[in-house]
Amino acid sequence: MEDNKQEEVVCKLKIIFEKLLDIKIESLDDLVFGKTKNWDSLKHLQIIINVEKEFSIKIKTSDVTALISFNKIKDYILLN
Amino acid sequence: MLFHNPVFLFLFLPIVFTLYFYTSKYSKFTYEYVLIVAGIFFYAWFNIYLTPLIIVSIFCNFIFGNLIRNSTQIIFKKKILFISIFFNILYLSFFKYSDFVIQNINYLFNSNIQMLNLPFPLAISFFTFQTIAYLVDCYDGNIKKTNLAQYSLFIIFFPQLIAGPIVRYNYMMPQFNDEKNRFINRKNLTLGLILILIGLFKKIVLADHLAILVDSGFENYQNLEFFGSWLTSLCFTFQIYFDFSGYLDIATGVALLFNIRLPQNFDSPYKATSIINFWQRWHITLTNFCMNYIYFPWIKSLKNINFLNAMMVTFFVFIVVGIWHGPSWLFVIHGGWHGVGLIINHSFKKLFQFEINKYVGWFLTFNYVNLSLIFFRSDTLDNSISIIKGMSGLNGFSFPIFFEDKIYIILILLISILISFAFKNTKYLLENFRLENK
Repeated sequence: MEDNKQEEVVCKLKIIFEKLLDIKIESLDDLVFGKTKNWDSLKHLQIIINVEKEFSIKIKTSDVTALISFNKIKDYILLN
Repeated sequence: MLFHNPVFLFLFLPIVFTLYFYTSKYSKFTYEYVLIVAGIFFYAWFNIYLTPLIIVSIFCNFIFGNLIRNSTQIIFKKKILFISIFFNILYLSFFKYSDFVIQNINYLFNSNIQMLNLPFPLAISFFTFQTIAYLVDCYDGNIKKTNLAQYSLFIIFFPQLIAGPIVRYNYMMPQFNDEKNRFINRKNLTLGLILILIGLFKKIVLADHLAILVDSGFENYQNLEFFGSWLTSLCFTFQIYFDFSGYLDIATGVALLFNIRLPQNFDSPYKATSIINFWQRWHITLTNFCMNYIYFPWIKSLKNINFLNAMMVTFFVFIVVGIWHGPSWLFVIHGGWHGVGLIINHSFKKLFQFEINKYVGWFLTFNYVNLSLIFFRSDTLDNSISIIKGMSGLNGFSFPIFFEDKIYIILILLISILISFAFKNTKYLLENFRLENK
């Protein structure tokens, strides 16, 4: 059950990332704010807004700049 | 008291260090009070009459924080959050910007309102931002437990009190409260002392010498031609970096003596290959604060989020960053300059698919930053324009006489350039430092 949920989140997140950053994802661990191509503050905001919509969650103001990698965002979604 | 003051290094710091670890042995709680008293003393050293300023702020915001945390009604919570943020901005504005506002009113309306001439309220810009972050954390439910001593320690911890980095409550307090950190740690002690030495070197050997040439250049700005104006502006660009990053290295080093790891504020910013990249490397904790608490909430509050709106917000955020640096229109220009730089950078990325060669990117970025810092340092706009004119060659090409006894500073500039571009930074040192066990 847990694994299923995780897989689903990763899958949906991947679509958001590929669409917004206009990239083809190879390794999830390499997806980091400031390092991954096109992932700057503006895209970051769009990612956050899309994640909020897609998963129907509210990301706290104080957490927005802490969610600086694919994995961190994934963990955040799984916890909320 | 500044960090490179011998009284700080050879008297204050050893006394606080000894008291901290000595009293920690006997009591679980005294460590907080040692650091709080040390912080108040450190602050009072500059101007004892301003000490109530920070104490009042701590008391008021502690109460605000508690009201927000303990309230169950979301509307009330939100109201208190807005009131408290407004209070903090007003508090900062009154002490830092009253005279600036009066000056501008006098200028605009030809009036003659007396200036207040308040003494410069040290550290207020930093602790105001840190406080706002705390209040939002309270609102978001991130702060489970606190008390007056803990909150005071968070604000008044002396290594980061005066010039940052701007830290978050949940980043700092678990470190203070970890009992393992109450014992002298040999690795942290060694690394802390190394960082203090690096910081002192940056400040005393590099920044303070570059400042000699910068001061004389800006004083004689009307006589600066090509070489003189380039030399002056380049020296300032490296002076401000080594001054600020040196100060923060010392702050990081001093905090490490107490086993506290401060976040890194600089990551070799002059190696940046775009303006976007520059702000990911320069004054990182300020950039993060602005993104988190101004940029994102502002954009999210807009009905229509599009590229144009985002760019407008970016510009205004950087105007705020500019004015935050000090009460002067030149700081506003500096902020606006970077705002425009970011807009150009983002637009370019959006419109063109190809990537600029990284050396070309670096060259453009460095020069853009170098120009922006002329406004940062100048006393008047006239002064900035004159230097930029000189750099473009419009004022001739002879070497200014008043620089002749300062030729050695060119050597310091070359060392600064070498260190900025060819060396790894203190972030790398912090991440990779190992103490060999014999």
